[in-house]
Amino acid sequence: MGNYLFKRLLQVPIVMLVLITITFFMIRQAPGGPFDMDKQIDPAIKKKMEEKYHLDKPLPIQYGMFLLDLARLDLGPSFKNKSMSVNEIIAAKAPASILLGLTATLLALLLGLGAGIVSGIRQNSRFDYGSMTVAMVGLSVPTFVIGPLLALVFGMYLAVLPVAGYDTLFGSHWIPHPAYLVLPAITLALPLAARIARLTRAGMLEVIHQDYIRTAWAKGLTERVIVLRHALRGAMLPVVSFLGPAIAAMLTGSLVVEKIFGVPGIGEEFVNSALNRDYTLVMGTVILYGVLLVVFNLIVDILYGFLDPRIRYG
Amino acid sequence: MKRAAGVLIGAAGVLAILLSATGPATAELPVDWKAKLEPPDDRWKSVEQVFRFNNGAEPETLDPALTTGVPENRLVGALFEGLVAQHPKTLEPVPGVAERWEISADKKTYTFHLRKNAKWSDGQTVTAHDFWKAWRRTLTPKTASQYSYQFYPISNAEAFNKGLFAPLNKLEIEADTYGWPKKLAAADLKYLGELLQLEPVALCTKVGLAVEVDASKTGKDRGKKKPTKASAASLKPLVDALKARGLLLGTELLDYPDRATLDAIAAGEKDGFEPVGAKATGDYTFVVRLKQPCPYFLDLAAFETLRPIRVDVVEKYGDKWVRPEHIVSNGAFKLTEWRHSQRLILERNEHYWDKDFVKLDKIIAYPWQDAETSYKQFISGAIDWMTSVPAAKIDEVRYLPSYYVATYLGSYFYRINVTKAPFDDVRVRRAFSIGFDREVVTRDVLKAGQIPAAWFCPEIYPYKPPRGLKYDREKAIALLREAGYKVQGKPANGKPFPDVVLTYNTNESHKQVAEVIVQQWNENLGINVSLQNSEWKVYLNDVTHLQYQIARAGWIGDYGDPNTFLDMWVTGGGNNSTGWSNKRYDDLIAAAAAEGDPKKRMQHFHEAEQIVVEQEHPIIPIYIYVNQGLLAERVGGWFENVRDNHPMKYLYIKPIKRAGRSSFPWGPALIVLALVAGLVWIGVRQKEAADG
Repeated sequence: MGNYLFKRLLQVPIVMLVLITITFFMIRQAPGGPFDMDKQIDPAIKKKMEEKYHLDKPLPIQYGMFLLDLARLDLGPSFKNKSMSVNEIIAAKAPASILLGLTATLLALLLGLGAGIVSGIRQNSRFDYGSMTVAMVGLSVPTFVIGPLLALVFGMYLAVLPVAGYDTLFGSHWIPHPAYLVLPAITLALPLAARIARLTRAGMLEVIHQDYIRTAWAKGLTERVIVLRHALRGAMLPVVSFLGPAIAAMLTGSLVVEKIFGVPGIGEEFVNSALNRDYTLVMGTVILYGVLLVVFNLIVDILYGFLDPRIRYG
Repeated sequence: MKRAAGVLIGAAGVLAILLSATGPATAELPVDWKAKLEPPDDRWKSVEQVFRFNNGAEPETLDPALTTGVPENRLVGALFEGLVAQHPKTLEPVPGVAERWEISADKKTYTFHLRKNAKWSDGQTVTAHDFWKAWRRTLTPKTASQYSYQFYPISNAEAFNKGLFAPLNKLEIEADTYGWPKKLAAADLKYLGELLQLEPVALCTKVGLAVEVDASKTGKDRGKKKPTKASAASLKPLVDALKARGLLLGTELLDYPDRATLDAIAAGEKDGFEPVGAKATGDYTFVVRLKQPCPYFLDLAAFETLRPIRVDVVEKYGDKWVRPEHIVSNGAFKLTEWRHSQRLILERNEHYWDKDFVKLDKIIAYPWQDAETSYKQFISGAIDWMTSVPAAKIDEVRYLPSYYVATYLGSYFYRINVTKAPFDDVRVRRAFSIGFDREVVTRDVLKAGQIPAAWFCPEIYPYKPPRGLKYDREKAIALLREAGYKVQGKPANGKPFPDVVLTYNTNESHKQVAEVIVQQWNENLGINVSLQNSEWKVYLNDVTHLQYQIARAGWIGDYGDPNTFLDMWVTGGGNNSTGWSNKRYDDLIAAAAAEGDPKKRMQHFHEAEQIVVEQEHPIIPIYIYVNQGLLAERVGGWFENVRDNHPMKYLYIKPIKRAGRSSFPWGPALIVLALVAGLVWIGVRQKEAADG
């Protein structure tokens, strides 16, 4: 296990380097630059702006400078938000996305696992059909329909929750005001819960018929113990492998949900930075996503070993 | 005693001279203009004076020198105050930091007298030196301010901003870039002198050029006489280059500093900003000297880019000086909180000189970009102002009392690339311009009261634009046939009209407008125009590099004068991007810039615009913008004007209740319930079918 872990950890910087290199050169191929504006700037002034951000130097040199800065964990200044550096933007906006993503994931796990397990052990029951139909709806209806609907019902008609916005408690970035998280978290969670439910059910069905479950029944264990202690582990395998990248995606913010509910997350920066040709911020968000993805995939692989003892890593 | 008397008489004499040379002071404002903007009674005091609105975007920066967008300028307007402010209704200049000003008889010198009680948010007094340092910093090339061209009417401001204060022979190294002549000989100088009607040597001294310079040598070897043969025509690039840099207007070399000053600047003995026509002659007196009379200079003086900042704060904190913990501002409000992408809070500035007039205690600006979210927040009472309504929602909000529509200083048009066929033929361009009905666009597609316009520059009093050419389908077809194309079968030997692509930046509204216009062209003229949408930056890139045939465009005026619209189309203008060039047009715009008589000036502009919209058609004007939005009835002190400029200093909250929750919609609720029940029933039936 330790050997395997070591080899995987070694892959991380290589993967990141490839990712960074490809992104770096790709974003600069897109036509237009960060300082292109509707009202044309005088070329002399544009030159000065490019000098300020080292954009006039040849590309390989810019790449080298970027890597050197990265080694010191400095992602550089943002071209669009002139008073903040990329580090500061990510530090200011990532917490909202991460908190929203975590809440949504927990909610989705609760709903999804619950529905999936029950559906699995009570196959073809009313509950099974009912919950799988709801899951289908949850998968098909897009977030930009569910979100505004929820905001309309709970925010405007019933006025029990705020329509949009965000706030934190006690002045800390990391303690969100719960009322503002409820609706966006539900909106984000529903599609994920639907997928988790279907995957859990499928995994459950596969496991239920295995020999070791039959042994457990024969031994006289209660249903609860069998399901939760024995069957669940095996059933979780497909869910876990799906969850790895899914959680990374959740944590980096869903652009649509954040826009609908006005949550100041990092999701919009992914899209806006590319549209604005804000090269440094693009690199920052891509690196953030890349790191999360790699880390979560690693966690998933390790979890596999715990869930199914038959899978062992030499 | 005698001495004192002498001084007194001397002072009186100077005063007399000064007074006689001054023009009108603070314009024709009625004395009680401010009282008229007060709330009618005191009931507003019983309500919490907090104004919440959606600003539409996260501000990129709050530095007045660097802001370019409307959301940023709304906030800068509340935070910083310039020499001059604008009346919230009529936009005429009212005292800002300057309590009064005088304009010289030749209209080139403005003397601003600052009030002595104007203070920064940290308690320090605002002085004329602050303005000098702020303007110097904004115009310094390193600051890279994109709106620095607002300063250009000021003498030598353009040259300073472009780093041009160097003796010309030092600039010869850049000869290739700017097309300077490589060698200047006696014959060249003579030609130059004749062209400019100046003594050649005097000219050279004036532009810092040593006589008879050999371009291959610089520095210590300059001035050595080494006449060489060269063609007199090689001087034309020099003259053109001087003109392009704003150093020559017609044949007059404007105010360029002399050789001695340039040398002192180069040696570091004099500040590079010295020759610029902006000086603090006292702690509270600021004198601005213009290149030539500029009727809209007071508008510029109120513009966000010309507002003062504390340079010492900027030097201390660098780019981070705009943060709430560092920022120092002199406006009616100060910045107390900035949570990125979440909200921005401004609170009243207790040191502001007019703080007793300011009624709002707090302003909260939200950066939501989604129109739906913004609308819901407005309806539920969480915000008091929605700054624009998307076209799709207009029918829904049209009858709300909070909906407003006002003319806006903006023009929507299509650029035509005149460098490539078929649009290098003016008849084709005219055919496209008169070949569709603009009313259809504004009445049926946009529906917000936009003004369909066959002219480009909005009516800015006292300017009346030409009417342009009316929609005429027959004439359009005739023009295309005249140009040699076969339209609807005739003439038989005509060439088929090539396919045309109309480019626009990705946006639902632009798409709808383009679809309607293209459909009309295709039907009326029997041609094939197709659409192409591009992402914003790609679109900008294509337009700048003339890689389009017809492209959608919009232009918002910076100040209340036709020049802001009409100087776009001069040859080689940065915002021209059509490849169009017309000498008569250039001359008219230059003449208008130099013209002192307002009536004649407007005539020049009128004639110039006629060339664009009635004769040459490098653009196809479509409509004049309107600005629409939603404003809660509880907001007072808010007035519509063409710049959509609503200084927060004048706003207050009336004692009207905020919008509350809407009534529960029983209809939709029952439908949803029915749907859910239906789904469950389907699930049950499936199970029964599976069981059975």
